Amino acid sequence: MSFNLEHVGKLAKFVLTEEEIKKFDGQIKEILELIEILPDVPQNGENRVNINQRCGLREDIETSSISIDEVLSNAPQKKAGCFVAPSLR
Amino acid sequence: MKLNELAATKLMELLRNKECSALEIIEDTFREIERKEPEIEAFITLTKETAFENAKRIDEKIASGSELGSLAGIPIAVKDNICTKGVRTTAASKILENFVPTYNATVVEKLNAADAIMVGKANLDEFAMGSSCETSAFKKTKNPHNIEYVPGGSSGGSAAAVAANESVLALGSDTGGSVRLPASFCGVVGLRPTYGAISRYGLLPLASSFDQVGPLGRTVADVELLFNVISGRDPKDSTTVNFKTKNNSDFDVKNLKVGVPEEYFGNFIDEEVKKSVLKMIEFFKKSGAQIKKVNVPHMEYMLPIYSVVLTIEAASNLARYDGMCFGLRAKEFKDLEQMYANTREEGFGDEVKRRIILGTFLSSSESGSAYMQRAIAAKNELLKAHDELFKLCDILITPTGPTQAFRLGEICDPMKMYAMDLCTLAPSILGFPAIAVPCGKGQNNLPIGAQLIGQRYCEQLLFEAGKFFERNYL
Repeated sequence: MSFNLEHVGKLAKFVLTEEEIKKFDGQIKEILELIEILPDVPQNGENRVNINQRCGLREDIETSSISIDEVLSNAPQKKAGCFVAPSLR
Repeated sequence: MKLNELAATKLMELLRNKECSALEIIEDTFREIERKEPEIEAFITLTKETAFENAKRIDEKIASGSELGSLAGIPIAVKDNICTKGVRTTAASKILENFVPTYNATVVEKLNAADAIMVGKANLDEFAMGSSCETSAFKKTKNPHNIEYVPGGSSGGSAAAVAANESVLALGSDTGGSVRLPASFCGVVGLRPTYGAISRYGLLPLASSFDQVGPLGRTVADVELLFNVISGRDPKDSTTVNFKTKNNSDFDVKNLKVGVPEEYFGNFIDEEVKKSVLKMIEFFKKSGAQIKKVNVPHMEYMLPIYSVVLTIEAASNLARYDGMCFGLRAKEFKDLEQMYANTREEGFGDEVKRRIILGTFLSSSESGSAYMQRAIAAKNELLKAHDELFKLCDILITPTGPTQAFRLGEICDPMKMYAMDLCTLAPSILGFPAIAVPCGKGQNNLPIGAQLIGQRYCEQLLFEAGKFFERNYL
């Protein structure tokens, strides 16, 4: 296991400051050490989460929803009934 | 005695007998809020105007003889990670500072249908990540018993509001102990229900397989009353169940088998806390209950399991806060990637970032180990062990927190803060109900709470045992 904070920070979509890197690195490694006491298990899928175990899905029936205005009411930027986002390069 | 100091059950009686009005209850409550809030800081947002309108509406219902809801006129604080239509819901995070939900959480719909009166949105640790209420981006709530101390977390605002009589009831949420620990620190009652007993629809998610909404009040009967209103199957939350708590109307303490797990009374528990909880156990013994010393195997797995599952689920759940459709968007960025990163860097506090980073790593292929599978395997072992344990006893009694409330700013090391949850993790991981009940006071007049843990769907037994204790001990 190799933990590289700057790399994982990027995966998690953060731009970490020098100060944060200094602070988080040791703290996260300490938690990783603690987790290592969990016993290894065969990776045969036996211990995967079974989502069907406790889910009771409702009937797939169309119900009322919220309006476009409501959907957009918390948008940081909107135009002509759409969210505005920076363009992809 | 002012009306806001009474129990919800008593207020319901007075209201129905027309010995007080809903308006009088709300007037007394807001008088207390205005007096104490500058010091306690339990609320992020107050909803005074709508509270008064609702009180008048309920009084009109009473005057016209209309049927009243089962929480009519009762003031309630709602944790600010529970969506309230038209009322700002921040999760105590800068990233949601101006977020106004367009819908109500199912629990809020149920409160409205029961004629409860929301007085405001209560402070919490940012996104419910914390055990002291200090990671809130907006304010630090104080413990009403001594304002130099924390109220506990993450539902610190909810517990403090109830303890300070700024509300009669409150809703919190409990992922790893976030209802029970603040209840214990503030000397009130708080329930974590069986997983699936209460809808999570509209609760801003932290770790979906652990999160549960939980009721708080000053008496066990009040918590029971609120639980009965908000529990039940919800088509909007597929993990909810048709909940029927096992009836214990014929509760007799002499038939109660109390398990005392040795592992919860080790060196990590403060002596005064230990003494108080053991006195409670002694009380049950003298009252005729059977006391059994039991063992919980692999307590050392609790925090690792919790850390793995919580951070992986949190990293996934909090990916939605990207500045795109709602919440904060950074002002400066050159492109899409930078908008995501700058928004999240500006919007989240340290604790949230730490957990997202850890969860991202643990769920990445680069971590080189199947952490989630290891955590689930260990959880299954613990589940088997606890099922065996509950063949020997009906409830377990343990401390709720390893210590009493600590001073504001006293714990800065994240590992020490996580250790505050050691006693509350098992019910969270295993989906069992647990109730925190005040059982005494220690140094500096600070409350101590005991935790009663039951089998799944045995909330009623916890209520009965808790009420028996309150009636005969306190």
